[in-house]
Amino acid sequence: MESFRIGSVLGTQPATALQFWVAVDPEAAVGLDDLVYLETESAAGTVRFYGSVDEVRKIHEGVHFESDTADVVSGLIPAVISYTAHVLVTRIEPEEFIPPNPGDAVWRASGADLERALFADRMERRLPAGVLRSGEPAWLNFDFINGTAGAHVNISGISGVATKTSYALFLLYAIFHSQVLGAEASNSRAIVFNVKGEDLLFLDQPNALAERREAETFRARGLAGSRYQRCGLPTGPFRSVRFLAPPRPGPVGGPLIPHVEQRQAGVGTYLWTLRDFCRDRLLPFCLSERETSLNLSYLVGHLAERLARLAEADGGGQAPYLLIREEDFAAAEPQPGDDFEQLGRNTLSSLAQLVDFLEFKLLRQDDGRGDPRWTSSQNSATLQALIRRLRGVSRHLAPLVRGDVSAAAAQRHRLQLLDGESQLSVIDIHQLHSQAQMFVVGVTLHQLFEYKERFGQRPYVFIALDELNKYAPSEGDSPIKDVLLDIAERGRSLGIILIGAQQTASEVERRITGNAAIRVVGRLDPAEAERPEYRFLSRSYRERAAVLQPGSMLVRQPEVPTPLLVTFPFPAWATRLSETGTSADEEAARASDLLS
Amino acid sequence: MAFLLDPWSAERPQLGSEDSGDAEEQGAEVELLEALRAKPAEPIPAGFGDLYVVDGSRRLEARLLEERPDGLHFAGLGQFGVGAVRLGGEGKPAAELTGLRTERRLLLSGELSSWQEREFCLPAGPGGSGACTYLALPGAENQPEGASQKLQAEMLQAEMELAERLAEQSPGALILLDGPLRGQASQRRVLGYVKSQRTQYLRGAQAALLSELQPGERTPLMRLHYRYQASRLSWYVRLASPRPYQDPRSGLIRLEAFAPETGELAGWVRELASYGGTLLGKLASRPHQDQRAPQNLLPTGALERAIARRMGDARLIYRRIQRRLFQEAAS
Repeated sequence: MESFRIGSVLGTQPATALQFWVAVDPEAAVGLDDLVYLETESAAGTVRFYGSVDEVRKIHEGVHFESDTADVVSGLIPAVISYTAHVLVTRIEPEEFIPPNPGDAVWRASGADLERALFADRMERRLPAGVLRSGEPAWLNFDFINGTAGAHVNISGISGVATKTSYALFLLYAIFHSQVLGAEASNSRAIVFNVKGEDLLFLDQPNALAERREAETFRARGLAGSRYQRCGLPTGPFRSVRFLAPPRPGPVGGPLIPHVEQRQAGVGTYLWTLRDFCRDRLLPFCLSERETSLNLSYLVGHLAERLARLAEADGGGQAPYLLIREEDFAAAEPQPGDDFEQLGRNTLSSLAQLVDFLEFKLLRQDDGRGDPRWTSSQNSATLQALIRRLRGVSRHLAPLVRGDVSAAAAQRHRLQLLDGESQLSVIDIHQLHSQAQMFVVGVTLHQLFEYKERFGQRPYVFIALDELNKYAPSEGDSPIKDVLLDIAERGRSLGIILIGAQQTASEVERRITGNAAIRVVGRLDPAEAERPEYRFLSRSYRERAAVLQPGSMLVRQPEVPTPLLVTFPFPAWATRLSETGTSADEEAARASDLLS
Repeated sequence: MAFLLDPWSAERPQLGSEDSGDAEEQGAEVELLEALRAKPAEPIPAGFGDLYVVDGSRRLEARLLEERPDGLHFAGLGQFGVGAVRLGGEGKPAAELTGLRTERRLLLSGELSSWQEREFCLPAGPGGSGACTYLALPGAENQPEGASQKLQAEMLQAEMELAERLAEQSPGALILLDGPLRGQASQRRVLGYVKSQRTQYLRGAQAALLSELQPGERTPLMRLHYRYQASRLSWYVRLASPRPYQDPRSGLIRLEAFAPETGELAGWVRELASYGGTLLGKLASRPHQDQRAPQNLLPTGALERAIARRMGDARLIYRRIQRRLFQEAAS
């Protein structure tokens, strides 16, 4: 593209090596985030400055009083409109930190100059991050995402306006549909938790509105094509997705039906067997509340250990339920059809029964003294508190942790995130109670982390998780926060990449947001924007964050000294049933066709 | 003693450019052309064309002394600028600066002696500041204020020339020239605008009318006859009521136009006199905007600032003159 002169370095404000003002030429139009460059002569030769505009202003020059404006407009006083723009220097080549000369011509950077201004020329693997105001693509250095030089993405912004989830999905789409993964493309996996509505259950369907809206958006800015084209991405739905939802609550032993409303076909269910729950020591993930006391967490750890031993030694093999030999404890009457071998023993086939069993062990056995091997000398208040809380949680977890399914069904519905064919797994948790959501997220990430610890960095696993403030609040400790901290701090070397999001970064553990190499901000609450967590944005950008439109994000990456304002394309995948172009009835009809 | 404030502060003497109250002015013979009473301001007629407000300003940048065989000679380096603001008629709303130019002069007393350079030059400095050339101009009186007066005369000449030129270029336009009219009488639509009233053309009982004028109102037209100058038509207009602490002549301006010695009064003058109060009322400055409010018109104030800007920073220029003279003395 041709270089276009926009003005010259202003002489009435000091120009420094890091920032300067530009007197904008009358016919030029300069806006925030425009990228510019200039050349200045020094003793060392020609030095090129690249920068981005972070402030623009116009003022009547030659008038003294504010009321003079009216007189200028009415034609009484002559005045000149002075148009100036402030530029933050992003790059100097060669690195001679001299100030430019007042009067030096300033040019709009495009093409190769634009890439140099944004250091894109130094990026070996470039991930499209959206498009700039000029319509040119903005790039992220993938080495700062995949762990080579840094890892993780963190997105902040007000719910509903900041389009955090949409941007996270766009990044995932770009990762899987551009060439950035190279040879890793086929093995890499991503996990997305669907937290809100059934927004993410149609990712594999094309969005009927996408092309039209995308073309309209671009045409309105006087540009041709679409943002997908500019980013070098195909326009379409996610290619390889599977959907997993919790089973619908129902009677013991009832069928496993995914608990979703709008999507009828192609949704699997997931669950954990009671045996897995005990053997894998998942009890701590039931109690993710912040105010867990030291005594209680010690007790929980101890009980998790006891249950693990029980699950390994009860003689039940791989059966989903547990067998116990406790004469005084009767969990359930033997049912007709029970295995003959198991007669005379008690089976635990639901979480509620497990809690009953724990209550028996801690509070009822031996005339209320409990089993000393289980109580681990905790006083009864602590024991009672635990049972009370487990009782509360078990209700919400009942559909998820089961002993009443067949071994084959358990095997089929076990969450095996890395083995499947699908690149992207959408795990639906939106119907679950908050405590059950914590359990699913915590256990999933925990098991993933353990798996990757054993099997190493490749292939990559990307995790998109909103509401980090819930899972890893800045205060308190919980098993799920520990997992997230592990991922934030060690995930880089294990190939686990967290694309985390939250409304307010100030409420999230700082070690998690701080470890994200890529920081993204959508619309922020103005008071929130003033918090220290956003100091990576300069003042003018923090002010901007308060007025960002949906679909616009400020993206900050380590190599580029200034944040970039990007817009990302309208989703090419459906984000609700109506966008698939089929009605709910058609969808139901299609589902019944598949069943018949 | 009861003092009243003269808004024409001593700090900015408009030497000579204003009504100076000199002998010749005072010797004018005043002939009233209308009945002696206040005339109301009429509305501005539709189709009123362009109005040009012409003004100049000057600055003595350094006083110089020269020891010559015949004694001490006073000289000076000075700059003057003139320009105009065009106020558009209907459909041309934006005011614009036009004809703006500044000149530098080396003002010398007596004749230009052969050994003297024809100009005084400040070489171009670092940082893109250009060379400044002062053209030698002999003929100033050999006294401390001589250079200043000569510069003033040059500026007035340039103002008058600009006014005439504008009048010639746009025949329908009205030219408002700062200060009394000078030089040759002309028939062009050039109007002198006198801001301060030192000379009293209406005396005795007649003068009482000046205090009675309400904002916008004017006095009857007067013809001023002079012994050596072209005769002029003139009238007073009140722009604003004086504040209690001000002289009753505050807020009063006088307009004048060349008048043919014989024959009919130029039609445009009579017409203009009827709505002049309305027109000038629109242009008048408000007290917070200008110490010389309301007489110093808003476009005039803007023009003064534009000229001052064009002239450059006086301290910077003074430094360069110092440096130049220092280098000469050192060599």
